[in-house]
Amino acid sequence: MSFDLARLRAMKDKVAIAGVGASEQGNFPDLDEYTLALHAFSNALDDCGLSANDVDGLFVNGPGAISFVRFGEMVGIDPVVGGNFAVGGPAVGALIHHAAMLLHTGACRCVALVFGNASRTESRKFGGMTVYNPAQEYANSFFYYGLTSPGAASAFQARIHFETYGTTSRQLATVPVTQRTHAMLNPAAIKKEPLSVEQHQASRFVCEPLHLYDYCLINDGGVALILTTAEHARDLRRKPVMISGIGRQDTFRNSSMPNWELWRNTLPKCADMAFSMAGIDRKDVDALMIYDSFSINIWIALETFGYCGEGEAGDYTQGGRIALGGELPVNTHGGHLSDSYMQGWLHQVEAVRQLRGDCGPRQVTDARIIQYICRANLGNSIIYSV
Amino acid sequence: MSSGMEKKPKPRPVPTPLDRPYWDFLRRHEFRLQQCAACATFRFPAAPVCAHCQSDRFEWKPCAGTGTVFSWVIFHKSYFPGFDADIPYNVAMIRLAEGPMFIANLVGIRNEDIRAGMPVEAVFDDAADAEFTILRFKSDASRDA
Repeated sequence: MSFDLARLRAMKDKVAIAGVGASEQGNFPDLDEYTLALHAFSNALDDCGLSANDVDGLFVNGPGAISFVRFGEMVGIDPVVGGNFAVGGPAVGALIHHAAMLLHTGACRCVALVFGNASRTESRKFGGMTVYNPAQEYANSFFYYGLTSPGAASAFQARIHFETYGTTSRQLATVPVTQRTHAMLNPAAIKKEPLSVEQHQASRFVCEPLHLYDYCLINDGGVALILTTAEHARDLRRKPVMISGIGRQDTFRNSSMPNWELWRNTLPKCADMAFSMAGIDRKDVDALMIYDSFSINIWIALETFGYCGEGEAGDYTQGGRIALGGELPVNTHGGHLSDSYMQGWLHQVEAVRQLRGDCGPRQVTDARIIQYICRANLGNSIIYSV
Repeated sequence: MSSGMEKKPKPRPVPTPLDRPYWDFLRRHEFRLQQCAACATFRFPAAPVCAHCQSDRFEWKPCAGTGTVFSWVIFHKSYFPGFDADIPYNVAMIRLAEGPMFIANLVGIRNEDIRAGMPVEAVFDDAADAEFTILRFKSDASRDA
């Protein structure tokens, strides 16, 4: 192993999420990403009973050009440390990792992680002649072949899975259909109409073999997380949710192209780091939050993190296993496919709310441990517990 | 273009100092990739050092222009106006005989006939203004047809 287990273990349960907040989620032509981020920031502070002046670490992120300096200016704070982390979807897990290290080493006491996203209003398509994203596979190298978009990378991977293991688009439909049933129990979710496998199969292709319902939503919104030390968090308004495990594993080799190994050579190391730090096993996990820009991400995450064997996710996800009430509920808020596209940030909020027991009709009974997984070139995982 | 309609341009390659030789060779209808002079590994896309052994010695070596289809997708959505007339169009990942994975459109084949493992062969596609040439691939089946 490439990590120092004793040092990692020393950080287990030493940092907590004390507050979470979200703005309204949807289509807001009159609001910009700063306003949405500010609403979320304000709600997260209210959630834990802190004020902006308590924040001494400020990291701001989003798919647009939101700046941490400008955000800090708007809320009127001079933190000890701050930054952007413009790496796209993997940012939130990576930022939680960095915040945990800053807090654990004593560099600061209270970190706000803030996300603002006006993608709907700005008509962001996540493809075409768009802004260069250094963490995206194949970046902008192959536009002359008409190749673009993270969706295409996932479509290549879905094709590889189908061809290699004999899995099918119909099996994959279980992911969006299940997550829609979860969204229907989430009052804040954007998509709450019933969705069937037949509707999925009849929907248009965007980048074949992926159908429309294999794709995430694109909408506006903001999310904020307030992290502090475990001892500080215990004095605050809500029950702290501990960060028990953190995994991180990057994949840079051959990253000019969609990852054709489906991250089998690298992501298992991320899983090993997270499980080793937390000292738990898969059977201890009550629910999973998985970064679902596309339905196929769920299969790849389940396989590379060892919840099922290589090529088995198509079968593994059938029969209600990943649904609420099943053995391993996945994305109980509806995820990016049905709840809201906040690039993994609302996945953290949902994990916290589930572990606080705040989730009403979609509550996972006696939830104690929840794992977040982001399969990406910057692969990362957070294990939360109460 | 013979369509008579005003055609929107497709995105063009943007050569860099790293890959300018690749594009210059293609204009002469030569398909060459960098081969590491220390460990003989071919690489694509272009890079100043070998990702396998870190040697910075290399030569632009001729490639056979053959490979097999590893994966492929079909674009049904418009991202580039220049490709709108081609929708639904394919983009394939091709494992070259020399080892590297390559990206290209497959030509002369219906999208529904593309198969994993299908042998394919490079063809040179000159831009209408003759400013550059890009590589596309045809299947053996389409050549025989």
